[in-house]
Amino acid sequence: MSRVVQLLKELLERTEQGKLRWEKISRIDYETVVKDRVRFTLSLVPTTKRFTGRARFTPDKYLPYMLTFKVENLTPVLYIVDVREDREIARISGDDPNLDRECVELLEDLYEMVEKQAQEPDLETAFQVLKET
Amino acid sequence: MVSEVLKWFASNWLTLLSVALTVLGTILTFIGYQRTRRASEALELVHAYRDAFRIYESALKAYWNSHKHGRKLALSAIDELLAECERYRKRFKNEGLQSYEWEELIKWVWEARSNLVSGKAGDYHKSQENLAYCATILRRLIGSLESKLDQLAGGRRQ
Repeated sequence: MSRVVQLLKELLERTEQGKLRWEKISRIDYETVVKDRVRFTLSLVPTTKRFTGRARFTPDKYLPYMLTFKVENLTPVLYIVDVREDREIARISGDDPNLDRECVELLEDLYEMVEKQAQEPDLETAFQVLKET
Repeated sequence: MVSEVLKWFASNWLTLLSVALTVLGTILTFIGYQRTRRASEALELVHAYRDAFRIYESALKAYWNSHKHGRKLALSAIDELLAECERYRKRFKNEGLQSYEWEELIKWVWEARSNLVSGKAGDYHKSQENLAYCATILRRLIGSLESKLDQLAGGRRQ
């Protein structure tokens, strides 16, 4: 199993378990900082290469990002940045031809899950704070 | 001969008057149509001008917020910019810019967006550079719309 697959699986698992909280930084971007050391940022970019074909890419919601100039779809992209050294560790893009199908699917699943998590109200935190007081 | 012509005029004056009135009516309608067309063209250009300024404003807003603490604001301004570009193109097609210039504009916007999302210190400066290119193209759009408005108003092309 490649390191990229391993990393994506780990992120997916931790997000699913709620160990990783993603912050919505714009309409289509989500971010999480792990131990003030590594920052993961998930975003969407326009692509002509590889179509996701997922239903979630509804034209109404994503229209401004799918401008008509030769762009037919959007693909998720994961930026990994070393916060301390201010250096980009890696950039995993869904339309990278070197990326295998499994990686693309994992990346899409991760984006989908993060998107869903960000839409849910953070009731757990509110409940926790209430209990502590 | 003259008396015959006068006689003919006397017997057909009503027909001649109606023909003259029809011609006059047609000319007036044509002038009215031209004026209305010019007015609606001018109105369309004024709307395009207003929308172009909105896009320009969003680009400037994104530019000024392209730093660590203004990242979210800059991203939201870029999203506004993209949405406004989409709206403009839907309504006014390529008015004011060539197709390749629009493509160039969108390319720089996405470049700026990508640099902002990545969020490294050096990338903020790059993002500002990208947005400055966008602003240059948008100034060209505004200038082109201004000169079109001037032409419509009968002024000289700037």
